Amino acid sequence: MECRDLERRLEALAARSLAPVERARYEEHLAACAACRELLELARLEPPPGVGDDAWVDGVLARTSRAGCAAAEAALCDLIDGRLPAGERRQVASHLAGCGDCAALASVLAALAAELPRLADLRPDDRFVDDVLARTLPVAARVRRFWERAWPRWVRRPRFASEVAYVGVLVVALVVATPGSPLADAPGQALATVRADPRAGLAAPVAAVEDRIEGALERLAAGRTAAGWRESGRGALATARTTAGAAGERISSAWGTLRGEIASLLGKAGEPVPEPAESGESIEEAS
Amino acid sequence: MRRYQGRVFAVAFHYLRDREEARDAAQDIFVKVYEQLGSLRAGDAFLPWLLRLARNCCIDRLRRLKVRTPARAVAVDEVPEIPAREPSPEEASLLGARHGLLYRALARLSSKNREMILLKDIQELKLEEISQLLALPLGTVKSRSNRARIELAKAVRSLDASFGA
Repeated sequence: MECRDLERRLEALAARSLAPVERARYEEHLAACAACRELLELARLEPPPGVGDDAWVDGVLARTSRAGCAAAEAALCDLIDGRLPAGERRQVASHLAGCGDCAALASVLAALAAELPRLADLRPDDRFVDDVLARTLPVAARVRRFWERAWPRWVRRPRFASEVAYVGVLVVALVVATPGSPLADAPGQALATVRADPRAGLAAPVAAVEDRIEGALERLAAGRTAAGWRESGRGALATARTTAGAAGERISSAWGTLRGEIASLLGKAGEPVPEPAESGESIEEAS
Repeated sequence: MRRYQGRVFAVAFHYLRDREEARDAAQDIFVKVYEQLGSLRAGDAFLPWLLRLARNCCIDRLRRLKVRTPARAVAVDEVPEIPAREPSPEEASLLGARHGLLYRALARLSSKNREMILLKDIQELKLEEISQLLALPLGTVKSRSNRARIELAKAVRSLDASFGA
């Protein structure tokens, strides 16, 4: 028997599952071969705790056949996006635990996923919107928009008051000092008015007012006596009574009509007709 | 317009790689949006429609200019201003450097991969929308997107080994 024959049956020999005749042949060889004896001892060793469980197997596989760097790299984006199935996720995670390069790449990808969306919004300068509107709005709207935006800013400037005063003076000077202007002699007239005696201008109106006051006083003196005032009062009272009587008659007539209508409606509804209220009587009596 | 101007400007900048060109292109895009808004059918999502229009407009502009996107690195000070979400100047400074790094890494990618990153990872379009936009099969879009991301991640690592650590 050669060592190679024993190696072929080493697993069964270690598991002690060989038939007695065959095992006897191998034991004869083992007694003479120290190398094969050592090999059989190693084959019969128990694995330490933790070796052989799922994580251990995944770890070995991740570093060997199923998820090398290329495979992990292909799955990294889906891993970062959370789209990787659980089984593959475990394999890739196992690979990352043992591969520094792929782990660093995964960190960069995760940081990019957070950072890139912030580049979506870049601020153009402040005049950008105005420039676009200038190319799209009609002329009237553009002018209106300009005034709506520019006027308040212009007015709020500290120099606005002095600028308005300056422009006002310029306008007055141009209007008044231009030869042939209808207002050319306005300053002279204004100066003459200022220099004139104000009382001279008031004499005529004051005299007119005095005349009117005197006329009124004369009419009062030659006016009605007390008897005249009494006659006037009686006439006014008689007129008022006549008017009030006519109004009372109209109210009484309307009330009678209304009461008739109410009585008719109540009769149709089978309800008793109430006696006239005192206020109604008083109205009739008053009429 | 105020809502989408940042996105449109970002898309234009990614295609044209030049701030002024991107600004002019973004203006053209909004003018076209104004002119072609009627072609948007009821029920269509606005953002993919807008990005499709922006992409076509940028490609037209590139053809008109007869230039290719330069493969040079983009300096940090060339990067347009990022909208103010940064709470402190220190963080803003850090983000500016990080985004500059990203632009430099993006500049190293092929134009196809850069476009894929722009649409999928920056503008966050769905794979189906990108497939429609680029007239590519869904599987091709998915595999090209994954390749582009890996390529970008490697480019970023080569520029800064501590990125993401």
